[in-house]
Amino acid sequence: MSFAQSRSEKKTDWLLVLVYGLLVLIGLASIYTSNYVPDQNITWQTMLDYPFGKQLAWVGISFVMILALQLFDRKFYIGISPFFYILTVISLILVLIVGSEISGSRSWFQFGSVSFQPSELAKVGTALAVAFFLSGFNTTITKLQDFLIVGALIVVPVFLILLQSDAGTAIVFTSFILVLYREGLSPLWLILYASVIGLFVLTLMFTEFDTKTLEVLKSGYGTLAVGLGLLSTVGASLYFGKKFLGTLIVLLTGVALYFLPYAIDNLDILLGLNCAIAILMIGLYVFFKKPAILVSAILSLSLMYVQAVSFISQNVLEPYQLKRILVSLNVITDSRGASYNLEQSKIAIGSGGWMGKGFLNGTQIRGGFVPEVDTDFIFCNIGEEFGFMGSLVTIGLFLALMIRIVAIAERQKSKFTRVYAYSVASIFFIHVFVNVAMAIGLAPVIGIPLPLISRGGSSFLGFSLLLFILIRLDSEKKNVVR
Amino acid sequence: MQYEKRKYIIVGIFIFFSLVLLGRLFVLQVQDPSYKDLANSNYIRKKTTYPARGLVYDRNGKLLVDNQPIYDLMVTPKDARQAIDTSKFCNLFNIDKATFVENFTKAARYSNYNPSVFLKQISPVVYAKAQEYLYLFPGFFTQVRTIRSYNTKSAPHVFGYLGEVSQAILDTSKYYGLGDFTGISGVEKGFEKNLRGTKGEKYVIVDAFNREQETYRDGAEDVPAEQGQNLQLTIDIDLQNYGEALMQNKIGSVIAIEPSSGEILSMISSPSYDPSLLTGRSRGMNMQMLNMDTLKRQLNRCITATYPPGSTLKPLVALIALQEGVIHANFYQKCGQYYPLGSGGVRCSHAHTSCGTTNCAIEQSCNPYFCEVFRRTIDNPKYENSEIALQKWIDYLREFDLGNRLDFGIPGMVKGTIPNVEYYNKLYNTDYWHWKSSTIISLSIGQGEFAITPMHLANSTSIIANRGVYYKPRIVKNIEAPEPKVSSIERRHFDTVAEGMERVMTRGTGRWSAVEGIDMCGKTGTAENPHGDDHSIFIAFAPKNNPQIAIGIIVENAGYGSTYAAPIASLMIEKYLNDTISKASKYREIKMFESNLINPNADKEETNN
Repeated sequence: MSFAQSRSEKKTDWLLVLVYGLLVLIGLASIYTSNYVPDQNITWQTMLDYPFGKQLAWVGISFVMILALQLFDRKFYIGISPFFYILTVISLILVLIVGSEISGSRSWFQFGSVSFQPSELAKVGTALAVAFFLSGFNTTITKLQDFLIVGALIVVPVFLILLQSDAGTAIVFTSFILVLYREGLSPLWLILYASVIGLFVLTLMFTEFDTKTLEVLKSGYGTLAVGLGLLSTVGASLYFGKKFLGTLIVLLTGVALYFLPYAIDNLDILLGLNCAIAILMIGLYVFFKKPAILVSAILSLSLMYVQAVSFISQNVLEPYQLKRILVSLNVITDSRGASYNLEQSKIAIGSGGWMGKGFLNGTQIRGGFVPEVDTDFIFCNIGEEFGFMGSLVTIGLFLALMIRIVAIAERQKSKFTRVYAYSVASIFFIHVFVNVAMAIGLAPVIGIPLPLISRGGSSFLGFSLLLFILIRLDSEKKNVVR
Repeated sequence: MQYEKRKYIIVGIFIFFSLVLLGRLFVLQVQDPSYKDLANSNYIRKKTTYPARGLVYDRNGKLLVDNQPIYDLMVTPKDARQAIDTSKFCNLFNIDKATFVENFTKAARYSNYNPSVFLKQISPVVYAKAQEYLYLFPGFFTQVRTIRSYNTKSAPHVFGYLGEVSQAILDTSKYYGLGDFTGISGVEKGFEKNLRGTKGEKYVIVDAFNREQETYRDGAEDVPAEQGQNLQLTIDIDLQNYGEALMQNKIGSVIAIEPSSGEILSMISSPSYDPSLLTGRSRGMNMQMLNMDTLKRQLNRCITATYPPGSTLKPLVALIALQEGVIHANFYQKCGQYYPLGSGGVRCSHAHTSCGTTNCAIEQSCNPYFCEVFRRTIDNPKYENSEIALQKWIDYLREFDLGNRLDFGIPGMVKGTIPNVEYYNKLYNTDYWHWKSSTIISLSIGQGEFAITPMHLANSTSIIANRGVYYKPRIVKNIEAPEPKVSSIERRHFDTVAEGMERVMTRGTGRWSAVEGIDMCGKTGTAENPHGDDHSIFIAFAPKNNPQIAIGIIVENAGYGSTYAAPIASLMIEKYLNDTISKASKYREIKMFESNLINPNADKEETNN
């Protein structure tokens, strides 16, 4: 493997570049339409005063960066990974000290009229760092020590971003669970991740809230105890079949947990008892190794979590966050800002029909009804002006992008490139899903951008960087052994 | 690779969630027609409702600043683009065709889809007529706002005025929208957050032509606007009016403070203007007029103009020296009309018998006496060198908040200048020579590196009046008052100085302004002015024991403190304490009302005629 050889066999994945280009065009069109004012005279001189012109400038800057990225080879990217990661962590700390606050989160560096969000770079930095570490000699996620190190690599930026009170970007980092899963993380973690979200949602759905103060009127504990108890009992009896004792143990645990809140109305004692039962069950399981006891343990742990969710909803979440979550779950409807914005977003998208109202003809966007229409709610433009076909094409392009990245990942000989590719796919995935789901009321309003489409320089630059480092890494695949 | 198969699961997750999104989008966009109906015929529109601004009362509960409804004609250009009878429209609103076109173009340039103001502040009569005919002109509608109206012609500098928010405020504050009003100066600015109240929200359903159809969910989601907090000022409006009348045709400031609470009884900056000028339809024109006025009527001289305190500083000089123990109340200093220190020495203003007490020195405003007192303070053997002693002296002045910006409710006060050790070191010190007490001797008589505002002057007088118990001055009554501070100077020294200031009114430079029956304490001052006639300065408080009012006054280019400043202060004190002016004081009142220092010829012309 000589240097000259690696040069000659450089091969760019043009399909990925094409999909990227199309998404950029959709993005520019959406930003143009959402800021369009008839009879406006925009010249080259005044262009930078308008959002569209600014975004165009960022796209230009990104193209220069993309070209520059192609100058370096794979070894360079592997080599700088740890340093780049450390640099992004430092910038995340710096922004907490000297950053400026824009709409509630202190996550921006302000240089004159240009603002930059270092958390966008942190995604790239973390992806590189995780890839670097996992591709190291004899490293595997199934070893506890390696698992903990990878976990720390991800948790450090998440923690710093949470300190900026930017919950949305922090959530993005949970997508690394897919990367780790591909590299050998137990599927139980995926199930745990899904259960944590699922039980959270279920708890809130079965809890009665005061619509004004958002205080808990009636806990969802009882309903969930019955539901989970029945489910585990049925599951247990199906699984253990004739073993009557196992089913009985599960059933008894369920009944006991259900009646606990009736006997004791002090939340602290209740939590304590619940905790005691869970520890007892885990202890019994370790001693007897009976699967039925494990089911009971999981059942009691789940119900502890249900208790915790009530607590989190009242004490950890900001009222506006809880409100957004409850609105998207339809638990409360008559809250002001949150359901108004969501309703406007749904009207804009929903009124698009099959083919949409046509470019620059969206009445809802035009009328200024949709908030943040060129950033968080940018999907409204596509939905209203290009209808279901526009939605289909956009989501189709994103899906194609993600599948293509997975295909690229799997054809690599280099573990570094593979892990990095999966990170890119996962980050795109969670951004696209959460952003679109939020605009159509499937997820609470979480302020994260739609990749390559939402207005915003640092986000556009971040996603371009993410993608084109991958394209550069991939172009060298044939020469790689490691 | 053992985990390679997992790629299918991951791609499966990607596909599954994309299908979830697409499925939901299909239902939303294709299946469910309700959103199309909502978009086509009904919009939910969020309207902002504006709260009434808090009212302003004087200390006795008299309403000073009120709100008055006005009507703006608004237009949504997109909806107004149909053929309308322009001539009828112009007739209705008394405008010509050119104005119509100009205003319409302006509104359309701002936004085609969002309403903006077409005509500002139409009269109630036109408003009533418009309500009748407005249906003929789609896209036009009226909106009610409130503006300020004033029940007094005085105290414009206290109230301040309102103006549209600047771009800088729009960028930094979430509360304001384009065209909102905010306090620009005075208490309107200082208490903006209390006065403005909280905006409300109203949700209405409008049709495709932007006509309001009904309230959204019967107003269940509406948030009513909350009226701003009313302010009760510490100002006594009668005293304010009287003071402004006395100060007419003179340039200067008067501040009166209640020493036992720090409440500002009146704050007069002359020449003044009618606050009503800066509200209503002719606001813009009047603003321009005031900006061009060479007398700078809008300037609040009480807190922005600075002067050397002159002899009014002497009570403080005495206080500090007494506290430092460099003199005692019976200290003797030969006058001889001349003090042989400093460049050229310091002369006494008039011939008098040498003083054997501090009281006497204050009464006679004896310059050599205070030069000696100051020299002893700075050359105090207690301190290692004169730098430390001067710093100590300055620290005392700081206790009276000289050279500090006072946060009393009206923003924009300047700090002023008081002496600074570093400054003298830089200015005078060489390798061979260090400045001495004699170098800075003019400080002892309130000249030199001194520039303080009338506010500083009145405030320090109020502290002397209250014998060192310092209530920070404030202009609004119904907010929590801070705890008083106590001066490090002993009370007995304050009593000594008050004694001296009383003698000023009985035997000294203030005796021509004494009022029978009022135990007044005062001190005159004359600030040298390199640009013209000296400024007339006076500080006073009364009654001597349990003082109810302390006053600081400066009349520009009016000569000695005893000629203009003292009579005006005395009249105001008499008015405040007795509510009437005694016969004996009447001639002074008339003289003050009639004198014109801004344009002295105006008087002569009148008499000539």
